[in-house]
Amino acid sequence: MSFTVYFYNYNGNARQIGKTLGSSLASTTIDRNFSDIDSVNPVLRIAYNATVEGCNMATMGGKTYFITSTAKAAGGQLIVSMHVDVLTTYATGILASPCVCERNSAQSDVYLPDAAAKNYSYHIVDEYTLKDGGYNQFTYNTELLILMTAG
Amino acid sequence: MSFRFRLYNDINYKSVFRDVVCGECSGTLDDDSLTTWVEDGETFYYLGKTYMRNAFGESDQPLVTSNDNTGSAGAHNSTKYFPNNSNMVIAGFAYDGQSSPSTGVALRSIYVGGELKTPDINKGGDGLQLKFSIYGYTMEVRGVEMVIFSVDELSPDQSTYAATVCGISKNALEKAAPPRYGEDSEANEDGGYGTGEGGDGDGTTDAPSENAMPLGSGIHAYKINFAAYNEISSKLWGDDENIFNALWYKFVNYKFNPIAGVINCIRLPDQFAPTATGSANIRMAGIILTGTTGVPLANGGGQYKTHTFSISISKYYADFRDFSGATRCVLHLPFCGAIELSPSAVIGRTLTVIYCCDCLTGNVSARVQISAYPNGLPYQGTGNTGGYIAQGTGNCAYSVPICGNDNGMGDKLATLKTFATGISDAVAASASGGATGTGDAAAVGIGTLVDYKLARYTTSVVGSLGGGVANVSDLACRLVIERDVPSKPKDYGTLRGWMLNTSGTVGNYAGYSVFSAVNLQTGGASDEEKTEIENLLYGGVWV
Repeated sequence: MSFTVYFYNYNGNARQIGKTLGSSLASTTIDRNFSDIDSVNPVLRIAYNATVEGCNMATMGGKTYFITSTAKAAGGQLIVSMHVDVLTTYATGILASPCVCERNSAQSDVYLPDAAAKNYSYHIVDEYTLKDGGYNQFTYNTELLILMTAG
Repeated sequence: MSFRFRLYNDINYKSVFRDVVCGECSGTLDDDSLTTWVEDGETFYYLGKTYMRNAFGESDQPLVTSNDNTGSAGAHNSTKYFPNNSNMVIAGFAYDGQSSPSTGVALRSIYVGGELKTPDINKGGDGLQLKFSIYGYTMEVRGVEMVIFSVDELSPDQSTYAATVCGISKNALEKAAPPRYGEDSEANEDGGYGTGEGGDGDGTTDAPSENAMPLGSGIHAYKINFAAYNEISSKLWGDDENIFNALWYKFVNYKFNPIAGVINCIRLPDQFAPTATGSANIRMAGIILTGTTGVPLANGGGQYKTHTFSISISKYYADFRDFSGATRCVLHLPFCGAIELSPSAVIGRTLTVIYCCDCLTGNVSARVQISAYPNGLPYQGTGNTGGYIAQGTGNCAYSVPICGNDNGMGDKLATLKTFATGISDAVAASASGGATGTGDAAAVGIGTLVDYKLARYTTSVVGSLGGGVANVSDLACRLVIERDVPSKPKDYGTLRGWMLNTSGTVGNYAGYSVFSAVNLQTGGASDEEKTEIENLLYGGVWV
């Protein structure tokens, strides 16, 4: 049994769910069972390929991987270390997963406090005078005295 | 039914011009306007007479004319009830002479802030129905009804203003539910509005019953002017120009000491002038100061007086910062100090301060009342009815002293008595042959005459000038709102996301999202991979 590894150069966001990788730039066949390798953090030894050295993602066995490092090895070989890209590998299941969305760039409830918001140290100070339809304040203009007496 | 709406005196509808309470088929606006509901045979029509006071350089000019409102059913074609340049004009007219109105029945114009609004017009079986929403209310006009009201701008120096008229018949206003967040709302743009009611919802000031103090028997209270005040002092000094009156008052002051009957004399703000009427001679310590009059508060309408200030506060940020710690509100109440209010009690609401003054003491309470249901907010649950939320107390009076003088009458009379006694003793001694005694007694008499000249004046003063800092303090109700100044990084929402807190599936939240809980449906993923997926979703991903 064998499986084929396809190599890509992806320039999008690493945290994108379901990345579109485009066309593969190189490929190679590994003469082993895919189930026999570490499917989360695989390390492959392949024939040296300069194109692969410039790639950052790969697919194999139905999964998508980040290429975390490449290193030339003796005998004209290239050691490629990878880590599974769970956001692309399981994109369909993730997108269908029930969730509570705390923040979103397209939707919002502006009345929810945002602890991440920052404020300057100075403040706006506004003064509003309550109105009474007249002077809008108390006045002592008229001759108004109250005399209180006993007896 | 009656209803209340609120008129604003500035273009942003922030300053409440006046609360208007209308009843069925009538409207009142103090004495500044006149509304007339006219029934003319089978034709009902409305002549709203709006009077302006010194606005547009004119005085008492009707804004509303009848135009051709006098025709038969369906011929009411007035189109220019109000100038379109008014800050806010709403004019509606509906006529239903038939069960199913057809021609000639239309809403003539609705202008809000000079912008023509299109109402929802429904010619249903109940007659013409006009429905439009403004300031959180749904106004409906049905059948033989109409509504007209207009608000024009208060001049910058507040010396002139255009009066307002309202007229409405049966249906009045229905309070609309506040719009949910995200819906278009005029209130979102124009600020907050309220019913002006709270607490028990009747909009009353809840003033104490009149004259809790039993005035008119043992205790008297008068509203007096400065002339009466000066007369009182003159009479208590006994310096009446009429010598006999002066002597009389000096005697009275000594004998009866009327100033002892003065409890206090205070000056109050004009707004707390008792409404009592009438006139009576002032009485103190059983003495009636004939000719010196005041308005006896015992006549009623005397002891308590209320005065109201209000304002509507719009949202500023129109987001959470209006209600969180980013906004702080302090209400400064004349005579009562300052009260810190929760922004939730202020922003988007109408704030009303109702002062109640005890005119006998100058004690005031300032009750802070808020309207219900701020507009433009998503919450539509029960509660949130507003009402009285705070109170301050203080004193608005400053004391004015009452001064009197007995002109030394007491000492003088005592001296005269001593002198008379000396003379009497001398006469008695002479009659008994004691020449020496005669000389001594005469000396005593002369000495007391000298004392008479030196007799002390006894001056009495009740009260003192002052009493707190009422008249030199800020006399306006002021709301001071301090707000944070936000730092706004470019593309903040794109990069960090806005607060949302709703549930769905991950695929519902395109763009950058941060999740706080997720029930992964990723069959085939190992536990290690699921943990990584969760950590990524909680830390923020692009969907």
